[in-house]
Amino acid sequence: MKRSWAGWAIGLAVVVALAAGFWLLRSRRPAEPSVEPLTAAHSLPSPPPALVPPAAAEETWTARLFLPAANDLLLPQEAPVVSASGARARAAGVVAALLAVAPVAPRVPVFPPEVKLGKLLLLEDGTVIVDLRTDPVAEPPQSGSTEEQLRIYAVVNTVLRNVEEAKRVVLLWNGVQRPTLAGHVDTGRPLRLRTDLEAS
Amino acid sequence: MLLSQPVKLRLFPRLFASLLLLVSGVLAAQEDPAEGDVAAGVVLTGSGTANLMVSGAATPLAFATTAAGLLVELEPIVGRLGGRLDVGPLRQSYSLAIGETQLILVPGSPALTSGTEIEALSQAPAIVDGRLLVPLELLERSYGAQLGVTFAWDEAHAVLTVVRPPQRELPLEVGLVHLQGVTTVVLQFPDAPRYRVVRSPGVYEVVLLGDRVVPPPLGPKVEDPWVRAIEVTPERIRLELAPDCAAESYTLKTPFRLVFDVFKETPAAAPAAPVLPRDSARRAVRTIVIDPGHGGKETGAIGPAGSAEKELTLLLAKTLATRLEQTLSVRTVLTRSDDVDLALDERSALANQNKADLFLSIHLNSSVGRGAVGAETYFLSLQASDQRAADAAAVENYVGAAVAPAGSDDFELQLLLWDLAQSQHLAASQRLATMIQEELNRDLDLRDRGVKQAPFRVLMGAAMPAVLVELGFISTKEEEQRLRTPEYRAQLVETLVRAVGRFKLEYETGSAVPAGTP
Repeated sequence: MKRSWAGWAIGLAVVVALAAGFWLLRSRRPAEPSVEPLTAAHSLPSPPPALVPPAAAEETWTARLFLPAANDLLLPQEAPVVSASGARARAAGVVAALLAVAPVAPRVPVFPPEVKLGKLLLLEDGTVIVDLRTDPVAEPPQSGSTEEQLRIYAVVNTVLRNVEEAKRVVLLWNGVQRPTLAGHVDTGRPLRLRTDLEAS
Repeated sequence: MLLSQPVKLRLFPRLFASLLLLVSGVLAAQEDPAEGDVAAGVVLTGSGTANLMVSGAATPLAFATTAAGLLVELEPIVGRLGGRLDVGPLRQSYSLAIGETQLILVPGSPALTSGTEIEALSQAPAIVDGRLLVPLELLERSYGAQLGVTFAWDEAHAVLTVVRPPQRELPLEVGLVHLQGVTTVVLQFPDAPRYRVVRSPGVYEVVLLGDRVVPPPLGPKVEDPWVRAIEVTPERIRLELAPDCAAESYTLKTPFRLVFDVFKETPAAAPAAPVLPRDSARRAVRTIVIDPGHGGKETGAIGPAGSAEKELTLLLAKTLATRLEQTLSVRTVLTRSDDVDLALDERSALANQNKADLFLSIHLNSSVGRGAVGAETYFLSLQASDQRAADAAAVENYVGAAVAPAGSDDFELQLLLWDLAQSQHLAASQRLATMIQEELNRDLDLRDRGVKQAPFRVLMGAAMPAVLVELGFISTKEEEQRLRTPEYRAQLVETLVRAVGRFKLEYETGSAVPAGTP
């Protein structure tokens, strides 16, 4: 009898051990045989040292947006902006607001509605890189020089007037830094505040 | 972050490369040559005091070494070999004048300009302990080219010796042709000789420096209204001009040619206050490049009736070219004569290649408002450097439209290669813009929108006075209709011709020419 119980106990132990081993093996095997999906840690190069780390906390604040107006100047218009509290987030928030705001006459929209903010970077030296995107991808609007200047400096002045840390703006169009948007203003280099375009 | 990862991967390297260039350019440009200690970006591997040996006599001069090579102090060399060294009006550059040649050099920048020619040095000049140090290459391109000397550096003993090279015998061929009021004299050599040009009233002499000329067997035969005689001896070539004639010289390569354009000088106007720099006053306006705005896929602005800016600017530019040739006896070049795509940088490059004396970019405007009317004329703004442009204008003692107030940050003053080229002409560009605007206001019933500055790409590369004219608002129905009529376009063209004529006269004589002068 004793031998019989001992046999059962050993047999049970072997089964349990085999089951545990099998379970362990299965649990260690990847669920899918494909390559692991890319994560930020895999795909990003090490964070560039010039980037200002974004802050997390959200805040609501009033921005002074500069919009083109019928008198060929930039007219300010106040609008609420919700953004995280860091300078980069404030800059992104204010550009997004500029593109989305309903202008009060005689102001007009800066760009057609399909133009959105793609990406915005703030570098430690105060350079803000604004990537404007269209969906579907399209060329920038054709225009004369006055209209082009108002479009470009609406973005530039709005960022520089609302974000203290911002010193200059680099404009990208669909991820590319172009010589100009419409054949006049040099967008191949950083742009600074143009007070002469603002209504006094 | 808002962008996808592949975009980030593509974007970051580009951004960093761009930023690196920007930062290095900015640091270089921000250095004040008169006050700085060490030019930004220069890492010295050694420095000390050397001896400059000229004709057996020694003079102390500072030197420094960097990873790129040797830098030596310029001032003692100027003291021993002659010439003049001045800080530029923008306090960003130095000018080195040796005889008739003036070189502009910028600490921290490898760009070396001489007139409209710009060359890149392998190493940038630098300010070290308040002294301007330059690479030997710059000495060879300046003193070497002008005096026919070479420079030998003895590192072990820290001695820089000025050496006269052995004499060469160079056969000369002389060509002469007279076309459209200009006589061109071509002196062709198998190799570039060492020479300098000595000018005196009515006579231009090419004096050989260490080399000798082998005269052509029969001697140059001269039958020309502007050139009386060409005499060739082994030591010099002498051009004797007709009365009231002057010449400008330039060189061409492969084979080396020294070219003189001889022309009848414009009679001086009645005495008046000088309004342009003296250097400019000696120049002539003979070639004008006209740039019809946009073209090809770039339509420019579109009017309510469907008129494309690119089409009307082309019509205006073609008529303007014809009328300028007829009225002012100048050569004109169109950047485009058809509806083609043409990059903005290529337009200014074309002007530089043609050695243009003026660059006019013709545009029509558009507004977000419905009733915008009027004309405006732009010259280049280097942004944030407006104060410096104003300083330059003040230095050059000219009167013109007000310059926009300066920002406090000098970031954009990068003095990149071509910026430097146009920055030398800002005063003249502003003067031309003012004259165009004055004539447009006087002749046509247009709203005066004034002379303005903007960082327009097409003006940046131009190494001559350059403006962009907005001749009206194609986006406004009434102005579009007027611009569509040949009669109105002809009026605009005549106004521009009159403005350019005024500028030409003032530029060539150095005397103010009032508005409305026919």
